[in-house]
Amino acid sequence: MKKYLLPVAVLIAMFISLPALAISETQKNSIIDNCASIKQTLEGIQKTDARARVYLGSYYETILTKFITPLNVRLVENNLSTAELVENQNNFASAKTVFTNDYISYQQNLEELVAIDCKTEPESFYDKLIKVRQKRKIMEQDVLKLRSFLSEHIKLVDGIKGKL
Amino acid sequence: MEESKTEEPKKKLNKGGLNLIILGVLASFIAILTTSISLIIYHNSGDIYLDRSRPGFLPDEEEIEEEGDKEEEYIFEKTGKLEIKNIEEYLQKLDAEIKAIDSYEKPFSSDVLSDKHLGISE
Repeated sequence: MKKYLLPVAVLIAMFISLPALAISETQKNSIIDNCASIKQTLEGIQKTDARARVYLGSYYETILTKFITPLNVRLVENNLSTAELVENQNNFASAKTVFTNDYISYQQNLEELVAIDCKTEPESFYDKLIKVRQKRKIMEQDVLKLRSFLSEHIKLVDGIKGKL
Repeated sequence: MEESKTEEPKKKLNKGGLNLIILGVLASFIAILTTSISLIIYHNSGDIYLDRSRPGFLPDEEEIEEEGDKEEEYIFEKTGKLEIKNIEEYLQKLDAEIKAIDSYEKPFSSDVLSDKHLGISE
């Protein structure tokens, strides 16, 4: 039994270390040929994303600190607070923190991608690109999640009108 | 005899000068080391990415316009009796903020990093 353990472990290690997606010869040549323009596009994306982060981040911050939190405090004072509204506030605050942390992780990976020499290392470049795409997908989902918490908040606040 | 007397303080001065240089080099080395460590921590913590995305880091025309057009800030009152009109005003102001969020076209959309957009032939 023991003699099979090592080969099995080696096979598992090989499987884990395989690149996420094999790169075709066309893609490889295309990366080498267009390396400069790809990098330029990526640098442009870095700047656009930085602007998106601060734009959305500042609105999330304003909504949390100048709308949702003071409203919940006033609702407690007026004995109108509901568990759903408090839970929604907590969810929104947590999602906002996750959004910031995911942005840091995404930008770190994007910076590492830009640093790779795509002319000499097209395979590593493409592997990293796939990882950055996954991180960007997470960012997109974070934005949608925050938006859904806001929709839920509006619905809950609308429901309070009936109690007044 | 006289010559050796004048050489002694000169030697002492040279030794003092050497010590001063060693101290200077050591202080510079410590300063460079601690600054480098601080920068590494700043980079690895990710704060650099947040600072880089702050308005004003790379000011552009749009940003300057936005700053000039800022409206008076609205903050919902934490205290006081709650009436329907307060809730209605709250929802109206909140709606304006949400509309501003929605107006940002496709933030972090996936297609921006697609092979096609980057010019990678499939």
